[in-house]
Amino acid sequence: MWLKIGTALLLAAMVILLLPQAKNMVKHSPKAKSGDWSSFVMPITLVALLVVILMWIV
Amino acid sequence: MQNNAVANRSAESILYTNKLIRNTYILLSMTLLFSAVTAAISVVLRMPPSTYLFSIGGAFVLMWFVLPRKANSSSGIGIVFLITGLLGFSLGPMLNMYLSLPNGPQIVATALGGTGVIFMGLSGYALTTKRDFSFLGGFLFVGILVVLGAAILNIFMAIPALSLALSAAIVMLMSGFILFDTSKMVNGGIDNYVIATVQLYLNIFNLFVSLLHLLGFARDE
Repeated sequence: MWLKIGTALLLAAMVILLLPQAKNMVKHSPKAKSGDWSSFVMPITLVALLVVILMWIV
Repeated sequence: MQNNAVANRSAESILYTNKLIRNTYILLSMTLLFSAVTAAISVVLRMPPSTYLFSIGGAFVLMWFVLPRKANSSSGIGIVFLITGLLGFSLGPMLNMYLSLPNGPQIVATALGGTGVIFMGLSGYALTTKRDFSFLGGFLFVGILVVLGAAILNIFMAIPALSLALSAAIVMLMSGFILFDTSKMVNGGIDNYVIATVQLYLNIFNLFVSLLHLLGFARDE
């Protein structure tokens, strides 16, 4: 049980430390231009396909 | 005259970017080898499950509180090896668990190979297209916070389907972070190869752990 509590505390500390950075990113990230999202979705779809294939063959 | 000055500055900037990328990948390959050695030591020593928590906790403290102060000095490289060594060592209990499964070595090797293919493919894609992926910043950071929140809940709820969904989400998020971090090196946004190495290493580490979980689950049927 103490291992679970320790892991939860570690993850909570990560959330607390990442929160300001995430807020900053949401506020100051540049907006996507046309074609930006498709250039992201295409390789990510290939990654998803690769993972499915690996899960299937293993 | 002014055109020459602009051209010189541009050439300098390209040289600087190339040097940053080269140094990052050299340090990254060295740290990956080093963490493979520490992981192997942890496997051979059959470290207990609590190793995972303590090693990651130690690496986390070094990453957040020591590395930012030392990143610009030569001791920064030593800190990077310490962080990656600890993270590699943390994998021992998990690798032992997977290696004890029937077909366990195949699962671990497939996860390792898959991680390598995904990292090289995405990094190569971001380097060759030179597209700026900085627009992903908000999306990726919010995504990681949501995943961390759900992971905290799942520690106590222990829902296998949620655990599987979280691993799949982490694979996708880390793939996005590889594009984001590599593009930061190419298009500006990071100028320190020590920090860039740690960021890319963390993407690879999380990708490997989540892929291992997914493959282990698939094998478990």
